Amino acid sequence: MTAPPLLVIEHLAKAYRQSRGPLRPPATLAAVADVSLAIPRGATLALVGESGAGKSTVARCVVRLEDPDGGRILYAGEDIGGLRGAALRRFRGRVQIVFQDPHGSLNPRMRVGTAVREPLEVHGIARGADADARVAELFREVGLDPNHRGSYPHQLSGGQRQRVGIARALAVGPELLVLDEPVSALDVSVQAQVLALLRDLQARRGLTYLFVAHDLAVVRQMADHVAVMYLGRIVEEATAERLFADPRHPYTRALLAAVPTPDPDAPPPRLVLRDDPAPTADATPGCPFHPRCPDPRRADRCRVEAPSLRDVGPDQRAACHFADEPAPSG
Amino acid sequence: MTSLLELEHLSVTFPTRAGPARAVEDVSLAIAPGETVALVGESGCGKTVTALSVLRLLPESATLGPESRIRFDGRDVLALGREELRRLRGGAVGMVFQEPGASLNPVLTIGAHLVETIQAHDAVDRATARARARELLATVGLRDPDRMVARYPHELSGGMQQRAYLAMALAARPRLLIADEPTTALDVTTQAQILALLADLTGRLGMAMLLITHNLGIAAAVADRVAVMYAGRIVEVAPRAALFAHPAHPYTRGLLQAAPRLDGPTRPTPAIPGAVPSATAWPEGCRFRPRCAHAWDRCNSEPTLAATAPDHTARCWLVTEPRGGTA
Amino acid sequence: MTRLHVGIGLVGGLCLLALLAPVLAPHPPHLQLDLDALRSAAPSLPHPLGTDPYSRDLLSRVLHGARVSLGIAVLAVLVAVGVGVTVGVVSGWAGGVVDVVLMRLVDAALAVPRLFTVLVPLALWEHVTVPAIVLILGGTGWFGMSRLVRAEVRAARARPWVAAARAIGVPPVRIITRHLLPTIAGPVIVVATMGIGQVVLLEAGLSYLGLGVPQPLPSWGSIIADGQPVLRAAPWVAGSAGLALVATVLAFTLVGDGLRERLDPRAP
Repeated sequence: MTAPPLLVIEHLAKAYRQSRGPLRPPATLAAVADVSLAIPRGATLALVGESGAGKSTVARCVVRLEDPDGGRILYAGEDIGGLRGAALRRFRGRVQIVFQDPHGSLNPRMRVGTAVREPLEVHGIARGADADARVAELFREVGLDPNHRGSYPHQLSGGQRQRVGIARALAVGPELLVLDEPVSALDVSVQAQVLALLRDLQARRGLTYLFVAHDLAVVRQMADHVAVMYLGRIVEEATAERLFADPRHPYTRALLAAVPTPDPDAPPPRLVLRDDPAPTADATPGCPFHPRCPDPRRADRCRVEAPSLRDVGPDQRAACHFADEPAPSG
Repeated sequence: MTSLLELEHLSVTFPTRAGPARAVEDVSLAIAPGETVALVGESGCGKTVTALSVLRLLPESATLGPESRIRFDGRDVLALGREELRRLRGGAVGMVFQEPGASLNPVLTIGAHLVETIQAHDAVDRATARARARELLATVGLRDPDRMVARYPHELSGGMQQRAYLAMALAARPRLLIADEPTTALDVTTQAQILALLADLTGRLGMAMLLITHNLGIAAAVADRVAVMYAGRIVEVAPRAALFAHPAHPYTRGLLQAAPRLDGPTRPTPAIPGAVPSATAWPEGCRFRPRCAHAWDRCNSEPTLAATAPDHTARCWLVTEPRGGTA
Repeated sequence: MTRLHVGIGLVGGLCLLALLAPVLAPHPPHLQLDLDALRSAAPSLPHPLGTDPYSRDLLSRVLHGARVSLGIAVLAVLVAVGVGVTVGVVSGWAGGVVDVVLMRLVDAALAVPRLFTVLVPLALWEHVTVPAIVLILGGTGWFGMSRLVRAEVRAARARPWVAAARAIGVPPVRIITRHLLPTIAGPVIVVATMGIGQVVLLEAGLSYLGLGVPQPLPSWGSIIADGQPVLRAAPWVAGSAGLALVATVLAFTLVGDGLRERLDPRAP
């Protein structure tokens, strides 16, 4: 990377307290344990993981919807943790978020045109007729008929609502878009439309994307870099090309093996993990993945010593004691 | 070979503020004993309504068309009395829904759920029922059944809940299992587990399965035959291999092209333009016409299911007629 | 013809009568007409509802009573809504210590029967006037409303679209006014409407006990009190005001109920 990355996350940590009844002290669940990432300008980094991995928490911290317990986030070199008031609003004008649930993220009592106009008014970008014209333009840009500005969310389809969410996020002219599972709730045929739109917008506007997803097949179409999360930690991070071609962490391999392919001749989705995870509130020493690790090389060392995220190849890092060699065959 | 389940000319209409919604129209489908049929479609196509119709689980307001016939094991389901219908549900026909958490009573232990279900279909005492419950839990791959029976639903992960739920559906040794998007709410690794379990169970127990899904990958993994639905109608039916190798209907082809795949291109896949129409206003003629790249004049009238191969049918004029007019 | 329509019709009619009372009433309500001949006179053409023991025309008194009773009730409910919504919004939005303190105070106030919370300030007030009654009734009637609003605000705050608004940078005040208040307006209106009926009843009760609206201002409660000694001989005194009371409470309850049905999220 020649230019400095646009977004840098350093040792992010966030924990939630879970009540265990009136007699015991609350348990501390680490949603995010120690996450460090960097996204170059104009690139797409996909943050992948299953439910409970912590990726949504990371996304929310990046847009300051939540504040981390530890670590820091740098946007264009500036620590966003201390921003307040006008400085925070300026930050919001540069970093926006598109949510997963297109139905839930739009106020059901507000017309969609008004929802897209709100950021313009709040940031003082435009008012009145000027704002209205910009909203119409945004609608066209995301492939919506501007005549739908007066519609309510329930009158639109899922795909249309998601486009409204994208238009709203684009209204302030951001540089970085955080996309929190933007197509997970959409049908396949609509998914493809929205993904194409996102790629298109990125090219036209020079956007940088933090793309949170659980569907690796979708990620493959969108990402330049991929980071895989498991229980609040990054277990593997690489360019998309390397990750799909030569995954070095057993969890990444398990995820890839589990994805069903619409081809009867392809290998059926297999689960290769051991056990079923009972969500443990207590931190265990050693590799957090070892109770479920299917790798034949799993050893006592894994139970005792937690592997750190380290370089295992050009543009590839993994947190596994055996990541230096490619996956064992068979 | 007589079919286990026969749906003939099934039509379901719901009243809505915007007029009657013809959610399902003229759907005919047969499932042989031990066969797994995947009913594939996107939201609004009518697949869930079809599945619910089999056990007459539709809301009161739904009306069935006069020609609708549902036969299970030769018996007319629509003519069953209350008690016979109750015995059928969860008995010879088991059903599993999408959200296991919502289907399990949070104040009952897993054991209580199972015992209740077992005793609803078999006159056995509690001890026998409990022993059977433990057996069922082992069948669905839940280790340590003795501890599992005492657990409450919220203490289990999503995958375990779905397994417990499956155990309930299997309690009365059904001959047909209807699974409505059983893995959609689960993580992909758990999904793989449940799919493998379903494939294993249907094989071992000789159970037929009607699997509702929007994911073609899932259909490819477990189905013997695949039926594709669009806008309330079945638009293609074929054995698994044939459907994926030679999809005949443009919608099926569009879905296959649009589906992101790990072994596919890294560019965004081609999308199907447009959106699914509303059930209160299906398009005239072929319902897929507004979104179809191959539409021509003939498509102004709705096509019927025509065969491209002995057991492969599709609802498209291009199957039987060469395209007339300009290309 | 739904409940709502009937209720709205009744409420509309009552409000109209109340507003036009000075015009419609054939006599000033406090005027004691022929002290001899017209004491507790039965209903007749010149006096359609009869007269009370003080020879005052009942129709006029009931009409003006509508003005007084409805007026007090509506104003008191407005006060209650104002305070209740404010406290509920602050508590629900701020959370933390503020929420805990406010809600414990509300809990304590709700634990005391309403009659006591009203009677104590009334008893301590030197010279009870109509504004005083409005303030006391309103000032003791907002607790339930604040709990309701707080719950709605907390629920709405957790909704994704509120998170989306925060992510856009919408300032909290605007989020509250443009996103939250419209959402809570529905339940608040329902509770407020039902509340009017309840306050009318409460005020009537106070006036009946002689602790409410000072004489000679007519209140349905005091009319009923006037009519009690002559209940057997002249039932129309208490009866007319009583019927008016019942009709009013019924009307507002119908409207409130009908609104609640309309506003409930229903399957399409």
